[in-house]
Amino acid sequence: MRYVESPQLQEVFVAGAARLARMRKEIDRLNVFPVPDGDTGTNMYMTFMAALQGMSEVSEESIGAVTEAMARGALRGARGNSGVILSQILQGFAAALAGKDQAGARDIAAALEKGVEFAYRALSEPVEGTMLTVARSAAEAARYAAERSADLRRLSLYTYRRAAETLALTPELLPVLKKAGVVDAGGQGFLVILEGMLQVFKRFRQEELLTVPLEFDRAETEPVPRLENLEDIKFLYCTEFLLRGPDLPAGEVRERLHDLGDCLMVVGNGDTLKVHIHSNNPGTVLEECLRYGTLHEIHINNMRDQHVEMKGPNKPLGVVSVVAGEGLAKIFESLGVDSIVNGQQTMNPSTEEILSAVERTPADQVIILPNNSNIILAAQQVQALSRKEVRVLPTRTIPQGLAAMLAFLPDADLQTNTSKMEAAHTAVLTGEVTRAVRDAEIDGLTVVEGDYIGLAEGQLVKSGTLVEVTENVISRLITGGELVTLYHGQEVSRPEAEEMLARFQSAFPEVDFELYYGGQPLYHFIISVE
Amino acid sequence: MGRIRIVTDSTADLPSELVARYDITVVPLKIIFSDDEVYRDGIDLTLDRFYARLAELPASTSQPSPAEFLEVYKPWAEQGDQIISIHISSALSGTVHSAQAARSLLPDASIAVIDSKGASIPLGLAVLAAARAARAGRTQEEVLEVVDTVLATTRTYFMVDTLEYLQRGGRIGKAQAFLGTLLNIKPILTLNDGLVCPFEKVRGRAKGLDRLATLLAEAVGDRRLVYGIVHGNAPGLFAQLKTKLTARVGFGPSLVSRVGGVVGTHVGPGVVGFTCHAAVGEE
Repeated sequence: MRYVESPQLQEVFVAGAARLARMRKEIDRLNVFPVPDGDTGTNMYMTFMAALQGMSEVSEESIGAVTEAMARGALRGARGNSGVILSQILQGFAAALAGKDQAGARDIAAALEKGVEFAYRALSEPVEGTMLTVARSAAEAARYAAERSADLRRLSLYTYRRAAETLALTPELLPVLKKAGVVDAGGQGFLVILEGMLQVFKRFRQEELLTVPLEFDRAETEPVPRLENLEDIKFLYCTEFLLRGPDLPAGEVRERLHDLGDCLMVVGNGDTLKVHIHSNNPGTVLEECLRYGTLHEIHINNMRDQHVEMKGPNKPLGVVSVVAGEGLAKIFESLGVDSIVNGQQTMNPSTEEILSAVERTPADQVIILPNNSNIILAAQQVQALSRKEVRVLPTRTIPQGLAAMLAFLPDADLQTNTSKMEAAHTAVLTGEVTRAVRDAEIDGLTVVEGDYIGLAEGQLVKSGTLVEVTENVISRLITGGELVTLYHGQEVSRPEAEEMLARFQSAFPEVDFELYYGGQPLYHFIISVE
Repeated sequence: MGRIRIVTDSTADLPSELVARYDITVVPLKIIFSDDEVYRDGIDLTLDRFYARLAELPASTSQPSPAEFLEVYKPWAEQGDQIISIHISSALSGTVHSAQAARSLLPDASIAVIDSKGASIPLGLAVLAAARAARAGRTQEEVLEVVDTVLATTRTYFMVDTLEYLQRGGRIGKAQAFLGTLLNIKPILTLNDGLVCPFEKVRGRAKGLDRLATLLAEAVGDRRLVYGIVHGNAPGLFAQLKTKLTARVGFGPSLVSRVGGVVGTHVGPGVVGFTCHAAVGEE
């Protein structure tokens, strides 16, 4: 096929839209750049539909008039960044075809080039690794194909393949994509349109040629599976290069390499093949390919090393907290604590236990919240034992630990966090209500074993019933206007706690109360005042 | 030499009487509830109806097309007017790109497209400052300087009820997902280089209002500042904020506004906050 006229071009564009319609939700899911709002596929689809609508409103038959109408429609209906870029590509496309009745390979190549030029010009800061890059490589491929053959089907196929290869490279160009393990959504959308178009050309002949790029597409664009065990790596060296030579027989190369490893891909056409294989004998792979031509851009990587890099700490800063009680543990976790060390009051955790929590925290730098004065020393030992950078924030009570976590900013550095958390934990007051474990006389107060006793910032509060003691503790700590949070322990049921809460609320109308299940043993209430 | 025209988009959340008084042109973004239910922000839907609908259904948003900017720019460009087009942060929306695309189609026109690195009243205050400067007879260059000064000194802090809306729209990092899930915690956020960033967490709304008041007082210090306040659909809380801020700094806000549909889609109805910037000539 050497020329398209407007009916065929319309058919080609409709096929592109149809393909996009089917794929739009999948493209939405890829969306991370520039704003991960998950609507790239939908935006491109809407834009493309607006273009088609524009096209349908034109009565004239020439290809110039049809593409111009299409571009106008796209400009009107462009949605999202990807839609704007797409509309710009169509602007350029139309500008290049203005006044033409039909288009040949060179015209189409020139139109694509013009489209890319328009798109780059419209963006003040074009970003590589996006649809722009994919479109540019498609235009280059179209030019390359048009210089060698007037066949439009071939041009379409070649353009599609190159775009697919470039799309697979987008994670290398744009770190945000690599981090998310995806290819660029806009680029994928553009490829899908090309794919739809290719389907039309494909109807003519040689369908089998398509299988190669599709295979490439699938293997390279899916997120790389994260290996769990090093033993899973059977073939150690990831080997990739370009093979150049006259009339390269891709099938034959593939067969020769087949038994040398797995994940084999041999793609490309004519005088350039891209070879990718995981093998224990990269030398043999290279030798085999030297029979056919010259080697370029050779990359051989030990996947075990890469794996270790991948398994490394995945965030800069983690937090370990010593907590007793399932309710409190959940609350600490909800605030961003990575590892909880179970800290019963009567059986303090060992340095070893804290160390192992630090080691399993997926971060290089770890902050420890002991939340008990008896645990601070054991926690400080960990600093010398761990290879990680460990800071102990000397929190003496659960409320102090919670206040510190409230100030925790996962994206800020260790220094910023420790100073913010330090300031926050000293700004909170702590009350505790428990039973005396022995007879004693402290601060002029006599307590008998089994009595409820309260501690307000460590000061003993006189005994009485549970609710009286708790009320006394609260009244010692407040001055008015604060927020009082009660965490009830495992020995106080929810209804009991709520009944007491109602009493406190009427006794202290000037403060706000919140009640949560802490689930801690021994302490009926832990109280924070802030 | 033609007039100076001030253009912004609907995320500036400017009250309509100010838009009319200063002859500002507002290009609407779109609010999308479904393929068949799309509204132009601030035009097709009252704020009350928007928030009622948002409570029923999640929404998404979409930037204006380049053609919508072209329609605005073209007639003025043809009569030789100078256009200053100030827009929502490019880290939050592609609106600036649409505006730039339209500008690139009018190569001979004088059009300055500015990324305000903000949304809602930080953008609104910058637009107002530009409009006042233009009204006072400043040259395009002088107006742009005013905008620069305002944007360079702008600080924005706001409290949201939940991070759910920001997360749904992808406008904040997933790392923040844990925030306030069990305790009654309200996040205070700020705008940093055009992005929404977590600033602090507070226990409950009352503490949040106090914190916002302190942040404003710290920003004011002994400088000459103006500030604006905003809320989504939280009039009671907003009234308290206004009282608190005014009492703390001794003067009232120069802009009082509500978060419109597009920004509201991304922050949720419970938002309250303030923006301040250095006072410039006309203020």
